[in-house]
Amino acid sequence: MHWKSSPLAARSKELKGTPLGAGMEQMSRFAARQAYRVHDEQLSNPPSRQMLADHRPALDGQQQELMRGLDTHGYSMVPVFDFFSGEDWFSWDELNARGHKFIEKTEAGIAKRRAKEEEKAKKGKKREKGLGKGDYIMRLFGKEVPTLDESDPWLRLGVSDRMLDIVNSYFGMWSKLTYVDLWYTPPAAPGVDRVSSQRWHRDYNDERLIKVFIYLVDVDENTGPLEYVPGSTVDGPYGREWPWRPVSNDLYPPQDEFEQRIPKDKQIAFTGAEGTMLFCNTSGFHRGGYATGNRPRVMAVYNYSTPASLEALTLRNFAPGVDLDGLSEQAAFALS
Amino acid sequence: MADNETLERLEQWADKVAEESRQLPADLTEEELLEYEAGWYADFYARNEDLIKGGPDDPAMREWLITQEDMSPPLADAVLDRLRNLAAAR
Repeated sequence: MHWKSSPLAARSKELKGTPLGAGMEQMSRFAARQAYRVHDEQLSNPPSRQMLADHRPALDGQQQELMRGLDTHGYSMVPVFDFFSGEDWFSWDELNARGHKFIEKTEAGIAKRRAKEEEKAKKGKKREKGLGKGDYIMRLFGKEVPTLDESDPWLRLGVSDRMLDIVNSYFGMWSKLTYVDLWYTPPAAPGVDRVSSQRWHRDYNDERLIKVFIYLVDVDENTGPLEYVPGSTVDGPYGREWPWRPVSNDLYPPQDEFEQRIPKDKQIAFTGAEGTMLFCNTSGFHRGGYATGNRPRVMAVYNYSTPASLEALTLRNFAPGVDLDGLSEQAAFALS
Repeated sequence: MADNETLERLEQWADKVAEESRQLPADLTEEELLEYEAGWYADFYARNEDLIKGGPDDPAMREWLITQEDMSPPLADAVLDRLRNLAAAR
């Protein structure tokens, strides 16, 4: 039973805004949590753990260092072109060109919208405030569920053995690739408060999950970098602060209290040059995308989770259109 | 296959709750709502007794409902009351 398609999820939607709605939403989360635990403890993750045990990869020095960072702090960083330098299929120029096409398209869309608003204002119609709350991240795929095949260079990178060797070793099992997209974070309008994931939170869809970000532009303090609390994953020193559990009902801890309990000097911002690749376990506390300068943040984003999460909690944002027979076993598993 | 049975019971329970929720009057008080919800959660645990940690009188179970299942203390207490009643009725 998947959280998003359970009868309780449907009831919860129908009852939204009614006195019973909140209780039904909690019950829907409760059911999802039970399903996740069954898959985590019995059905899905144990066989996946065995797959890794049967095919344990030999990590090279660079991969071991990245693993150490993930294990110790919950994150690691490396220039993407260094990481894939020995791979024939990898072309940073190709990825970068696609990234910049996405930037052009997104900025053309923004300009068109602004022009439309100006036009409305001239005609005396009510002027909108510009980009709305939901526009703090603009995505290449958005709500589409595109079919991605072998020709997609972002997908190729996501299921490359070099990448999966790290993710799987960190998980202690073979993982699933659940998300591939490009994000464009425009500068926040002056005076706009942080919304949604711009606030401190944990990702509650898996205890061990990895997000990989590949920067397509330079990301500095003013470009809305991802901020993170190292050691806030389940075994870390901050793991007990508003602890992780599957599909928690409390998505965002009170932000004032957060700043008191986790001092500023324990928080870091992942700034980096174009081409930086960041591996991060986002079941630890993080926030991002609050760009205060005048440049956007643009990056490729990958999510990896355990099979239990894909079975019970997470929906894949793309449909794999790949011939699985042509892939390594772990890559075929990641897309199955 | 005990694993699949657990999921099967979960699905049956979810269907039942969704269905019963359709029969409820729209003007229930907060207390009445809490009673219904407690009954549904208790029904889940009655179907999955292995998930009741130490029984309804064990403080660990109350703690679990509050910290791991995100229940409010009044809801957790009402669920445990229901479970006690179910046990007594057997």
